Amino acid sequence: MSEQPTVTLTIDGKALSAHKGTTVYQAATRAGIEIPIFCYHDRMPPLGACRMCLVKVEKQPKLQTSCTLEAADGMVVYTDTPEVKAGQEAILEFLLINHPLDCPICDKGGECPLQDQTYKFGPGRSRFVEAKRDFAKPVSLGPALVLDRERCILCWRCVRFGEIIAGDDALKGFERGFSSEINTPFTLPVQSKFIGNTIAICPVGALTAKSYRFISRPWDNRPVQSTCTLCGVGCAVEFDVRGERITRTRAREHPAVNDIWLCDLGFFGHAFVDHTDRLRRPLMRREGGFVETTWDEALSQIASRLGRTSGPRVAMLGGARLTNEDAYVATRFFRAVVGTPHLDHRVDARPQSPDLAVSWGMGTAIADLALADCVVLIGCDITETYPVLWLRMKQATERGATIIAVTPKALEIQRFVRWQFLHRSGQGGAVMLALADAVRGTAPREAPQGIDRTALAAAAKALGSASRPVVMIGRTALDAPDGWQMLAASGEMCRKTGTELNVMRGKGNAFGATAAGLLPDVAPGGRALADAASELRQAWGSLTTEAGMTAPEILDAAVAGGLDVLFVIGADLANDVPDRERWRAARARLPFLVVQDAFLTETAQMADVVLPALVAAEKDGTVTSIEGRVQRVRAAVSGPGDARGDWAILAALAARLGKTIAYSGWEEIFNEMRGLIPGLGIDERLPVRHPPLGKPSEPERPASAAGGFPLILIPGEALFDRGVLTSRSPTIADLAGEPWAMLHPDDAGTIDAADGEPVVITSARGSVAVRARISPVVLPGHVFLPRGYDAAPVNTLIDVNEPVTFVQVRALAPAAPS
Amino acid sequence: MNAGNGERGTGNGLSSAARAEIRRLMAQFPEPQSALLDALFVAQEEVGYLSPEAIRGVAEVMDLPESEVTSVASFYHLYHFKPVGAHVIQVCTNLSCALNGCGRILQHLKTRLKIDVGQTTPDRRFTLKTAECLAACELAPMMLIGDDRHGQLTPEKVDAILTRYADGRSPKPEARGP
Repeated sequence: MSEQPTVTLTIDGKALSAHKGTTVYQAATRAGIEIPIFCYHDRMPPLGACRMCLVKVEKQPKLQTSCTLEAADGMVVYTDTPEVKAGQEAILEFLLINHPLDCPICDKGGECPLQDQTYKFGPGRSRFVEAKRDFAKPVSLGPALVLDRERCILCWRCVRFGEIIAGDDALKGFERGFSSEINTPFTLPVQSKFIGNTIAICPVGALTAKSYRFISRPWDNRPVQSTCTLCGVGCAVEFDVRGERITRTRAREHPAVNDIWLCDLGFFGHAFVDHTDRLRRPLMRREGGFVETTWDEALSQIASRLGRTSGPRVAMLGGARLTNEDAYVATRFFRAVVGTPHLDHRVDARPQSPDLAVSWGMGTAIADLALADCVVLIGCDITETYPVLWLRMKQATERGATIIAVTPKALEIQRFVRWQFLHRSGQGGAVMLALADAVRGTAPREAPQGIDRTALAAAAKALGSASRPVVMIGRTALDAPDGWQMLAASGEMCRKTGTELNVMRGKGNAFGATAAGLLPDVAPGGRALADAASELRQAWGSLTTEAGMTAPEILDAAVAGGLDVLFVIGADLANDVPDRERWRAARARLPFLVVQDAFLTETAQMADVVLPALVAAEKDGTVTSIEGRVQRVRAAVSGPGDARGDWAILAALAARLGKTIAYSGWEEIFNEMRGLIPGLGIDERLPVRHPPLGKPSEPERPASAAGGFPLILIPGEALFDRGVLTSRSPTIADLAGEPWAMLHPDDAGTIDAADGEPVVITSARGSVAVRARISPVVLPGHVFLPRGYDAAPVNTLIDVNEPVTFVQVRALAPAAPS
Repeated sequence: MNAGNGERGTGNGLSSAARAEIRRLMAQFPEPQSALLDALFVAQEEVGYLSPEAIRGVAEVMDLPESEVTSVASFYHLYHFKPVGAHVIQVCTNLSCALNGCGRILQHLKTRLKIDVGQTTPDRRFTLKTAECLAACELAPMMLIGDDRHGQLTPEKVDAILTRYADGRSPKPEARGP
C-alpha cells in the first residue's frame, strides 16, 4: 500500500498529523479531544445537520462544523474558546426548544447523548417561552418500533442508516422546515429487518423499542457479553440483564463479524428465554399423558431402557441448538458410552440431496464480503437467512460490486441486484450451467425458457472479469429437484473464477455440531474416523469408529423397525424434517423416544421421556459461526426450574450407565476439544472442508404437473417466523404475522384469491391454511411457502420421494369485489 | 435492477401512457432520479392526487424506494396526498401579499366557498390552500388556481374569477386574469 499523504494541524495547541481527507472532528477525537456531536456517526459520511460540533478556526470568520471540515495543513483549531462555548450553548438551547424534556419517563434517560451533552455543554436555561411542537405520541411503527417525534432533533442518523447501511430506506424525513419529521410513509409499519440499529444510534429517545418500553434504566442492567445463536452469523451481542430477566439485546462491536450492527431477530429474539412455557422438570409418559418427575427417576428409566438394547439400535438426532461443548460431549456419549455411530445434526436435510454431500459453512471470511466485486447468490435468500451478511454486501455494492441472483423468488434486495435470474422450479440447474458455460468463455447453451441470453452473457462477463468474486449456494438450490446440477454448476463456476463455494446452510450452532463430530461419518474436527480413532480412544476409552447412518437414514431405519431408542436433542423433528409423514411413520415404530429441549415441542409431545434443557443464554461455553469462528457464550440468566445444561444431562446419564464423563466445566471440555480439533481457539476460524464436487450433468426434464395440483411448491426461508422459539418471542411473532404464501397475480386471479385473504394449499400429502401474498416476485405456476411457521408446516405437503411437490391453492373466502 | 426475465414491475396504479411518459422524462437526465418531480406531476395529473398506488407506480417505474418517493413529494406544496377539488386555489400569505391584504382575500374565499383552509367544497369543485411565496410579488395580493395566476385581488375580483371556474374546467387562456 502506498503511503497516504498527511497534513499537520493544531487543535487546542496540540500539533497533530492526520491523513489527508480526515475531518477536524475525527482528528480531534483521535487525539482525545472531545467535541460534542449528534448527527455524525462514524459508520456513515459526515452530514453537518445538527451544528453541535462547532469549532473556531483561525482566519475563518465564523465558527465551523468540525464534522464536515477537512483538516488542512497549518490549520489552527480551538474547541473550547468562549466563542465556541457560546456557539455550543446556543445550538443546545435551539435543539431543546422543541424537545419535551420528558426524561423521567423516557427510555433513553441515563444513556442519552442529548441529556449528557446538555449537562456538559448546555446553557442550563432557555429563553423559549412559546408553545413547543406538538405531535401525537407515542406512535407505533410496527411490532418493534415506537416513534416520538417531539423528542426528535432531526439528526437524520436513522434515515441515513436505512439508505447507507441497510439499503432498506425504512425511515425518511417528511414535510419541511418547522413541519419536518422522521416517519414512515403514511405512518405505516416500518419495513425493515434492521430497525433495532436505528434505536441504538438514535441520540435521543425518538426511536425506542416496544419490547423495552419502561422496562429498565441502563444502570439497573447488568451487561453480559455473549454471541447470538439464532441464525448462524454469530453476531457479538450483549444481553442486558435485570434480576433474572434479559431486558434487551444490544450489539457488541466485532470488526470481523457484525461490526456494530445486528438484525431484528437478534435484537428482539431473546424473549423466549423467560417464557412461561419453558420446561422446568423432567416429564415421563404415564397412562397416555405426561407427569412431572425427578431427574433421578427420568435418568433411571432412560438408562434401564438403554441397558435392554445394543448400541447400534440407538440413534441421536439434533444439535444445532447446543454449544460446542454440549455437541462434543454428545458425540462422546453416543460413540463411547452408548456405542452407536448413528448421530447427525442435519435433521432438515432431504434424503439423497446434495445437502448431505457438502460441508456447510463459508470459506470466505464475513469481513471480506465487503471487498467482493461480484457476489453470486444461488438459491440463497441472504436477508431471510443470514441478514447481517447483507450489510457487508451492501458495502460491496457501494464500491461498485455486481450482485447476480439465481433464485425462484426475486430477492428483497432487488434494487441492488444487477442481474436477477428468476427461474422456474427445476430450471435453476440449467441457468447455472448456462452461466458457468458463459464464464468459461464457451457460448452459452440454449438459455432456459424465459431467461434472457444477453443478460446471461452480460452477467457471466461481470463474473468472469471479477477479481474478488464470492459464490454462495443456499438451501433453496441444494433442496431443488435439480439440486445436484446446481451444486455441480456452482462448483464449476467457482473453479473457473478461482474462488471457493460458500454453502449457506445450517442454523444456530450447526457449524459447532459439525466441528464437534455430531455427524455419522467424521470425527471431531472433520477428521476421518479411522485417523482419529486412537486419539479418541485415549480421551474417551472404547468407542465405535464405524460410519453410521445419516439423519434421513436414521428415520428410514426407525420406519423399518431397526431402532429401539432415539434421542432428539435440541431439535423439533416434527417440524424440522423435510417430510412430516416419514417422521410420523418413524415415531410410530419407535419403542422409546427421549427428547431433550427447552420447550414441549411437537416432537417432545410424542416422547416417552422429556428432559428440560437450558438455552444458549443460560450456558457458558463456545459456539461456532457459519464462517467457522469460535466465540464465547456466557450465562446471562440461570434458567427455569430444574432445567440443566445439555452436556451435564448426558454426563449424568453416563454415570447411570456405569461410565464416567466428568468435566469441571466448559473450559475443561474446550481444552480437550483443542487436542482433537486442529485450529480450535477462541475467536479463531475453523476451516470449512468441502469434498470434491462432481461434474455438471445435462439438464433433467422438469417433472410435469399431476392432475388437480397445477402449481409447484417452493419451500423457502423467512427471517421472522413462528417456530418453537420465535413464536414465544412476541416481537418476532408479531413481525412474522400469520403464516403466508406468495402467489403470482396471474395464479391469484385464476383462483380468485385477494392479497391478505386466507387460502388453503393442498398437495397429495396434506394441506395448510395461510394468508395469500400476491406479487410478481414469484413466477406464474409457483407458490412460495416459508418454512418455520409451526401452524402451517411446509413438511406436511412434501413427499421426499417426489422431486417436485405439486399443489393446488384454493381461496377460503371469495375475494371482496373491488 | 436488470431482470434476466424481462421487466417485472407492473406500474400499479398508473396507465401505460403515464409510465411511458415517466420513462421519457427519465431519459432526459444523466441521473434518471432527477425526473422524480416531473414524474410525480405525471402521476398526480393522471390520478388527481398522489394516492399510495400512484406513488407505488412512480417508485416501480423509477426503481426507487416508495419511502423516498413519498418523502420527496411531501417536501413540496404542489403535490396532494388526498383527493382535491377540480380546482386547487392557493392563496399566497407571504410578506408582499400579507402587506397587501391577503388576509382579507383568504377570509372572503373561506366565507364564499364555506370551507376552511385545507378543505374541499362538497361539490368537489374547489380546494382552498395557503402557500408561501408564489413568486409573483408584483401581483400581490395574489393566488393560484390550478396553474393560473390571479393578482391584485379584491373580493369583487375573486367573485368574478371564481365564476369563470364554476363549470369545473379551466377557462381558456384569454379568459384568465392578469
